[in-house]
Amino acid sequence: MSKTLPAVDVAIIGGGWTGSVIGKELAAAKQRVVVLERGEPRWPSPDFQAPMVHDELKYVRRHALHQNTATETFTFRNNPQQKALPMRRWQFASPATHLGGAGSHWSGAYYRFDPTDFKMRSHYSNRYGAKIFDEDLTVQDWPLSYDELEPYFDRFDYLIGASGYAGNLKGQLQPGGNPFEPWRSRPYPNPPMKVPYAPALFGEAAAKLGYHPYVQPSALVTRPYINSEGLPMSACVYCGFCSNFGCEHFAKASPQVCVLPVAMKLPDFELRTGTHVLRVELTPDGKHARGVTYVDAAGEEVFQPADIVVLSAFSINNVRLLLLSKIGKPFDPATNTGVVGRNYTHQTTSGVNLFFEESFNINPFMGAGAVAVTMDDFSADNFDHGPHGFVGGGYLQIQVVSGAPISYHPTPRGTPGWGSEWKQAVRRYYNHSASITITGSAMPTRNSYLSLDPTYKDAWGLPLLRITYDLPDNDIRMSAFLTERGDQIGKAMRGVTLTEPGPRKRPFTATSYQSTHLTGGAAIGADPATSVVNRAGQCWDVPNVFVTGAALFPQNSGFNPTGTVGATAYWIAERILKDYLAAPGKLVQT
Amino acid sequence: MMLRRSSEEPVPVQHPPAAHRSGVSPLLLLILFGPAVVVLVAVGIEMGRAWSLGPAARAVAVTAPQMVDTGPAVSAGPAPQTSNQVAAAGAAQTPMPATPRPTVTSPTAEVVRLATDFSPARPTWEAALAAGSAEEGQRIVDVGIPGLVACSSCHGKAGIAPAGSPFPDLAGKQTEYIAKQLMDFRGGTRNHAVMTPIARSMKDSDVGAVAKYLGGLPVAEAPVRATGPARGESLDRVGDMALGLPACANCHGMGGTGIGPLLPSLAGEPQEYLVAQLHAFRAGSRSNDDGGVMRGFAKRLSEEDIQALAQFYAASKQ
Repeated sequence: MSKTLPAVDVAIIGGGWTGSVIGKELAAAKQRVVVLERGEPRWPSPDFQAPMVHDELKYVRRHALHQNTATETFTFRNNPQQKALPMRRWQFASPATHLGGAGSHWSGAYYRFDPTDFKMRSHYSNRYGAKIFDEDLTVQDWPLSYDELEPYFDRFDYLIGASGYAGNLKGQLQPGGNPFEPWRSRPYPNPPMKVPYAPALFGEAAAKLGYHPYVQPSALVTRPYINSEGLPMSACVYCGFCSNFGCEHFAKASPQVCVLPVAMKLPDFELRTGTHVLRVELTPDGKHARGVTYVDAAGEEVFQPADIVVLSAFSINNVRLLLLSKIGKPFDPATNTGVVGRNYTHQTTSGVNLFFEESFNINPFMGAGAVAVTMDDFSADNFDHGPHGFVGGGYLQIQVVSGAPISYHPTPRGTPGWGSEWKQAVRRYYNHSASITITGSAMPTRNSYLSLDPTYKDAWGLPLLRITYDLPDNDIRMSAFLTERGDQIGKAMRGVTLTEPGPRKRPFTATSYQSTHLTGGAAIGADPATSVVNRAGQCWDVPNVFVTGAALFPQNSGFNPTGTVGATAYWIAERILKDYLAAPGKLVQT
Repeated sequence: MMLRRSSEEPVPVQHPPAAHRSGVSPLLLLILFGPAVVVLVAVGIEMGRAWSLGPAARAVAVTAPQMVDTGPAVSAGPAPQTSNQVAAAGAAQTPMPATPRPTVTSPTAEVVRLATDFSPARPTWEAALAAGSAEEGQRIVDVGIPGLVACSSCHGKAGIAPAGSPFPDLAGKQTEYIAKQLMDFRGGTRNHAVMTPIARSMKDSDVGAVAKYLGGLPVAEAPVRATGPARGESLDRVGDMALGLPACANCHGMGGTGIGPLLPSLAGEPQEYLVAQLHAFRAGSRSNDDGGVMRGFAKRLSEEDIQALAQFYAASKQ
């Protein structure tokens, strides 16, 4: 028997980037907001202070800031003929738990999607003809353009104190920046990061080959900064403990640093931790949300009535909440009908391992989560796709993250996995190796989708989310092309004695790291037959439910998601405030 | 002893004019700075070295500080059009007018660093550190050489300043840190009425020599002192969420014991010295902190916090 609490205006599920940003915006406009965070409160001080926070075992291997697979996980299979099995240990995903969500443990690589990413189907069809798309691809346009979202990208830049040097200000190319950058209305609020040795060598070789390398934009602040909420951030000290860790320095942008301290002071904002939401409750006709039911820290079921529900959990956990709450029609690949779960993708990554002469000291521990020299010559539609016969692209870069002792001991192929030969190779190569990382777009197919697992359940007895995914031919071809380019750059780098290109191969495996960018399943779109939410992020079927985050992506860009997640969060907050609250109901008529 | 003063009294280690305002007698200043200046002037003239307090005429070329660097001013004009850039320009959308927004200011104004500036660069102190020998350093520290006063005249015998002195102990301080500080005094990102001219009259090899010798000396045996205040300890261990301050221990080690080659130990340093450094960071007269990290923190520390931290570290043991 659940207890019922007094009603609020807005219940937001998840205390990560989108929940914090939207919660603050709505509470500032006098909406009574409660943010329901299933995890515990985690603040940079005291929770993330050194030396305790630099614990690789706790945060990287034991996933202290990630969803506990013992209580809830995903099941995975490559195609509908297989039986999906539950993931017991995270490699291909880092769904967060605890305050700040993935915004707390992310690396800080910070990009905007390319304008062509928003017009994927129409842009490529116009330039190359519709046949550039393989038949199995279910690529579709966003109902929003880059130009429409630019002011919201800009807002997020100044919230997080993005570091970089603008390559394109209002359409004017800027020498010293990335010439392929989409136009931006203002410069980055902070200068680019400093560059470790291996990325510098990469940039040197790439420039020599005629490419346009540049310092990756990041959400690690490079000087003392007062953000758009008036909150102080400090300069990154390049400790290297970003990915999977909370930042002790107030340097990595996260909700706890950039927005929650302001939100928490608003009388209409409440953060409620230890609240695990089970489902959104609907009226009997299924057309209106009444609120949400959660389990509190004591294990008691609680009903929180709300006029508006915003799904701001980890990207694909939002899709699970939709399915568990029976919002929208689940996608069925057999009949190719339904929308919830459709167009799931990951990120098509690959790499080239590089091994150096012993006189080249790479010092892999001197880095940060997002410090890289990167290039967009093969990103998006920045090159002629005609001869290659695939859509999409990716960036090539060297990023030096941390060289942490448990995870990082590179050895050339053929080295035994243990014993004295392995030890010798680790000694020889620890300080003399690096990797070119290639991060590519991912195209959806009819057989890449999310659904509720028929077999496995979570600790609360609810079905787990099942991922069905494999790489389409398009992405395999793209990965081969990009990885070959990476290998050429690697071979042109000073000091490199051996390159090991590793293009992405089928089958996709959930047991190896290849970014943690799980996207789609609640596509944003113009057509209710192929999307879950309209351009306002509003569910077509239940207009007082809004969905945020990377679940909205109809396909995945080659660029990291957080910039676009942040921009769409501001966009959706404004749609709720300006449009929905003015006239509650469907914001887009069909 | 002469240099002793009560801990309440501000100490003129950073800016002599400020010291005047705070009521320190000119006589004391003369006692503090007089000998060094006199020795330097005398020796400078004797050796025919041209030096002055200003940067215009000095014996040793001043190397540009690390933070200030790179590249010509960037014009807003279009880039040279390569085929790739044409493609990029084609992909870009029609510009829209920027939405007017409240201006967000950053507390520091720094020189622009481009995204295309990633050439590997070595810090300026590295060459200096490679140059000198510890033996030569011992001579400079203990007795001085022509043109250079003995470091020991302020920093004490074997790099341990006399009890109550406002000058920092240098014995066992990180070698790289000492070299960088001397180069920063030379370059002007750190300033001190006595140290600036001394550093400017040092050759690269003198810098390396002194750093090597001092860095190799045993750390001072810390006398048992009173425990520092709880606020200082709390800032050291956990920082302050409301002020956006990380724990000092993240970079300086627990209790200021020092970790890493360029992050100084703080434990046991004179309270006056620590206060003066935080003031200098706050005022920006010390700007040799990487990325402006310390300048940012110092601005958010209240005067009480600065005193509490200084007391805490002064009372900590190495």
